[in-house]
Amino acid sequence: MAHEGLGEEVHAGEEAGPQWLPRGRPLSILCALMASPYESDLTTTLLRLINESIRQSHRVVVWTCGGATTITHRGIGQSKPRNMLDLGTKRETKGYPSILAVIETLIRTSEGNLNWYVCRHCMEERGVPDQIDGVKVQAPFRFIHYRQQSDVTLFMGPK
Amino acid sequence: MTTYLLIETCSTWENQGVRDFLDIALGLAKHDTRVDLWLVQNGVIIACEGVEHRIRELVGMPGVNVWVDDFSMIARAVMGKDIVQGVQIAAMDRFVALLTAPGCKPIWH
Repeated sequence: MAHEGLGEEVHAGEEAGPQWLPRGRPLSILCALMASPYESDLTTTLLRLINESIRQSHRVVVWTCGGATTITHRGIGQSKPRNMLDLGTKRETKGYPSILAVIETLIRTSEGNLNWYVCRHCMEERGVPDQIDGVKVQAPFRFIHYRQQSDVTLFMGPK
Repeated sequence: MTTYLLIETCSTWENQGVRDFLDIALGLAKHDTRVDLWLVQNGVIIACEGVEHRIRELVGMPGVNVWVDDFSMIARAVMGKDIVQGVQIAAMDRFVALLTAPGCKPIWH
């Protein structure tokens, strides 16, 4: 399905999947989120990557370090403040799920193909020990284990 | 065969390291190494015509593919006609395919 305005064919949303998609065995992808989660579109990119990887039957392991440990903090809540520009439009009724709600949905719908780990040291340093269900808090050195277990490792955001 | 998947998330206006990163891509390509350059987030800006001459150089090199993320383009109101000819617009399904291809070495910037 082509995206309006982009001018070239974009393959997102094809039912059977495009021909160039690899048909090999499912892989384990480790995404290490190292940078500040709200500084850029980084977290959005991560969530898109997770969603698509699971759709292609891969297994995803997320490891969050530093400030990224805060995005699974229960205190974020389930929704964001409404966008006042949406008042009186149909968009208003769709709601504004928080990043936490999106992560919870991904974990719930992944059928075990998404494991989300939080670095204990970074989490405690930032005072966010109240993590959501489905997220596992791990000692920092466990990262090595997940790194060794993965087929592909993507460090997202180290500067 | 090793393919470097270079992921650029910044524009040259916000990060001086972007040019160095593109130089790495050029250097790899000159040594007959396969390179996939994925421009995402603010990185899509450097795919626009006239912004960064290294993108045009990369597009013309054998073994190099330059991709631009469709979602990031829409978020920044970048249209297909704005980008350098030869740069390919693609969605996240293509990125996952590149990431999981045999011999892929991803580097995030």
